[in-house]
Amino acid sequence: MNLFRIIRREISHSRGTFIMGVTAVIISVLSYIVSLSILSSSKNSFSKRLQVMKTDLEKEINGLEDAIRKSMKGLGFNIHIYPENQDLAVIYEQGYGEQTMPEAYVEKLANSKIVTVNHLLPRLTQMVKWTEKDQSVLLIGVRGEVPIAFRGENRKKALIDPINIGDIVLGYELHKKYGIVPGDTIKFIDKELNVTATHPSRGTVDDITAWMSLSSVQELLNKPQLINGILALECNCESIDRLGDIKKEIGQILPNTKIIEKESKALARAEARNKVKSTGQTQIHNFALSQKELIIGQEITASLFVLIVSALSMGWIAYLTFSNVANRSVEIGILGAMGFGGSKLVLLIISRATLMGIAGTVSALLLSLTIIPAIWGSQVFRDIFINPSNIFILLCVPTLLACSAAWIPAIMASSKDPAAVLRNE
Amino acid sequence: MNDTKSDFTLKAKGITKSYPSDSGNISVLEEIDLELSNGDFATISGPSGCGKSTLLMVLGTLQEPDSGNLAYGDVSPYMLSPSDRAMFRSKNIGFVFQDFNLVPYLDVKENILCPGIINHSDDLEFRSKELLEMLGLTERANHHPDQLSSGERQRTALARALLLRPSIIFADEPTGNLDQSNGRIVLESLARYANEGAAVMMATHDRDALSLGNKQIIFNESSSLTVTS
Repeated sequence: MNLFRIIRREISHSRGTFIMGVTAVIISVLSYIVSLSILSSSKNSFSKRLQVMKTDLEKEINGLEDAIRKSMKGLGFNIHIYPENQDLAVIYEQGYGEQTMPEAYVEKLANSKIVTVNHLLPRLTQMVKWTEKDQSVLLIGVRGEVPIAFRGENRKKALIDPINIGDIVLGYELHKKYGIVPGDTIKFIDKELNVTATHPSRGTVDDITAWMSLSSVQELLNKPQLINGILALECNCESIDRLGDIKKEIGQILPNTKIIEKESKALARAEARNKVKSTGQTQIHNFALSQKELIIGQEITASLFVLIVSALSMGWIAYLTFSNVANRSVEIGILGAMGFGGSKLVLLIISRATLMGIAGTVSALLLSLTIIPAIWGSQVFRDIFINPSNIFILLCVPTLLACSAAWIPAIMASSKDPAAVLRNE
Repeated sequence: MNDTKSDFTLKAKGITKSYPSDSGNISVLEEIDLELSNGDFATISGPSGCGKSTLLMVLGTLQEPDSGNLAYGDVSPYMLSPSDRAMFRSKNIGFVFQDFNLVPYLDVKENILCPGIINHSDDLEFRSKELLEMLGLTERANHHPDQLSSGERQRTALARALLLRPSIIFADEPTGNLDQSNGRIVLESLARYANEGAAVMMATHDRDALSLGNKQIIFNESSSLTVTS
């Protein structure tokens, strides 16, 4: 005869109340498992949806990038390289800078291994007065294209033909206004020059522009070996952040310069692409945030639900234990008379509740093995049951709660005066 | 088993006990002096509510008196901690009650073996069989209390009290719910146990039972005792 046998016999004798206690534990454990399953299912669904959105956006962005790359290749775009101390406000205001840099810069660039630029055009630009005609002219000195040395025979065909010393090319307003045609000789600020070409109307500042050889303009403006800008044409657009890449590459070769890109369709398209990407990312971010808030809300609700169910279960077990102890008062009294100390009586009652907790937990887990995969799938099942903290909670907490619920009735029973019970009887 | 049975003496001196009530304390025991030793079979008689059960509870170490001393040999049980007192009780004292107080979900044999949970020894199984046979319960060993007659229940309770061979048995109206035949069996068993060298103290209204004791303790109306041998 031992204590465990008494506990076993008592449970068998009052199996109805024991089963009610076990049921309370089952409900409590299942409520926890079901809450975890719902949350896990929501999280999985959210992750999948987020992944789909990210993949869709990535596809869309890749598509746009591809389209832009293609369009950029066709369009090319212009990069202007200016001296580092050039105020860009002046550039945007008058279209050229007043600061100069050595013409040798363009040689340095041409002799480098630069890959992002295909054509280099040094120039010296200044608004001058055509004294003979009292006409303002934007004078641009060009020396044609400076070939990029390392490309050798593979270099791109020159975009602009050079202008020879003694020659001049006139914009639309300049030749139309004064009736000048190609082949004429004109006097331009005390210099005799041959008009080699005249341009049709472009509706831009080109219409009041005159192009001469760079050395002639340097001499005319008394700026020998100086230029105030390099125009880089047909820059490669393979990269998405192409301006950044070009700046980086040129900056390493010519550290004392600043680089700008003026309005181009390619830039606008790239900006549109960036806008689409940014909007998509913002939408995904907002979706993730709203889902996270939703999940936090669900977690709080689930926690409250589990807490309430657990508290009710504990209350129910405590009530059952109180009833059990009350029904067993004579038995507890006689055991006390036989020499059962308080600790043994507590053990007797707590053990019953412990078995209630264990039986309830095992039953709930067995039920979960069938229910959870059937309703929420095996992924959710794995999320819950291959998680050490969940396993610990599921195995220990229900039993501990059942013991806690029985603690007060057990203490009350153990402190009962056996004489009072037996005398009353 | 208790091997100190032969040296047993119980001395109670100046025991008083009262219970609180709405109209003040009700004095149940007043300056009780008693002495029992091995071989004594003491009967307690008196009107209902005079304090017989209370005296058994106090002497049985279940209810601490308001004042007075109780000693089992050199041991003063009420000087012990509750857990030590419970252990002392399990080794030295047996109880038999009018209402049997069997554990309802244990069968006869398990009820008899119950005190062995606290004081386990190898010969308890043999001892329980001996008691089952002695009290005519062998056939009922696997029956539960609700399947037994009153006499069988009380014999089971008596066997349970005798299992560990306590130094003294306190019996509170053990024949109160029994027919004459079963009452006789219980009384003879108690008397035989006293003759074997233990002590028995029994509260009873049964005139035949009173005649079995070698000491008669009679409660007076003033809650004092008259002890005759």
